[in-house]
Amino acid sequence: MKENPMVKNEIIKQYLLNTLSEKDRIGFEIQYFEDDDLFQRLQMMEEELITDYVNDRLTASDRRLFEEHYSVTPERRQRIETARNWKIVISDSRLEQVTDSHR
Amino acid sequence: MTREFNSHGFEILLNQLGEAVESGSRFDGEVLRERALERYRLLWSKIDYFLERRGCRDHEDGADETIFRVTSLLPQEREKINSIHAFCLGVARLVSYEYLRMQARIEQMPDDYITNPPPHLTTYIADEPARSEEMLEYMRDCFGKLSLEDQELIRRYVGSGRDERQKMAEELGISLKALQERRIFSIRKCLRRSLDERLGRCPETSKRPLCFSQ
Repeated sequence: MKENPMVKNEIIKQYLLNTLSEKDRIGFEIQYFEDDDLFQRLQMMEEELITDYVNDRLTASDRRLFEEHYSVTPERRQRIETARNWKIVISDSRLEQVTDSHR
Repeated sequence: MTREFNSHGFEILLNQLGEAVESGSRFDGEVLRERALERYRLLWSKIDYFLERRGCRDHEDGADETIFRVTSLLPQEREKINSIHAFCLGVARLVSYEYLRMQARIEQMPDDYITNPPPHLTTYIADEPARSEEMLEYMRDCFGKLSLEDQELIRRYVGSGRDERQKMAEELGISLKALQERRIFSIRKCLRRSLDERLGRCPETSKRPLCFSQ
């Protein structure tokens, strides 16, 4: 199945941040039901968004939208917490690596 | 009243999902069926995802309910259906309206009903320590199980901005998109699976397509 190049990353981000109009939202839902690659891109972008949020890499407006519209359910908050934990684990492993290289 | 799962409808669903990809391909029956089952699991994930995005707390149950209704309708409706995916989305949309109405009704109930809702109306959140040292230790174990190359890749990726990620992709001789979609996505998936196993959870945080007989 070919990727649908018509669907821009911006649309996916807006879907995740819940800022698409209802009409565009319905249109996008139909597209990812029909297109497996688009569904994978959607899941991937969701992970990127969470990672960028916990690493303070979102713009101020995206950060606000993320907090208002994305992190609204216990399940999603748990995902964000898990991403924060991964950040700690990865950062610790980076420190270990630096320490090892100085030994 | 117990409702019966329509296994004939489920077979029609599998056939339609199989036909959607395999037209013109020559595979034996078993391979075709396995591929149709894979397509079914993916369809279930999409329904589950859609319902979660639409605000249904019990989205996994909603996905099962959608499949249940689709398989009940398919024997009579299949001639009229142009796209099985669009049909499933339509049914999922109706299920979402019903679930959201039910959620709204529960929220208007007296306090004790909200604090002690019937189990089938609640979303189970695993009772896990959010950031305990134990959890971090589990995660360190999982990270340590990755190949050194993957560990380095994810360390660099997570710690970098777009320009640095672009540079990483160039060093690997792939596009940024391929780096994100093939390498990083699959490493994260591997970490998730490994952590689920370590915590004794069902893979992919209990994502569970409706049971069916094979």
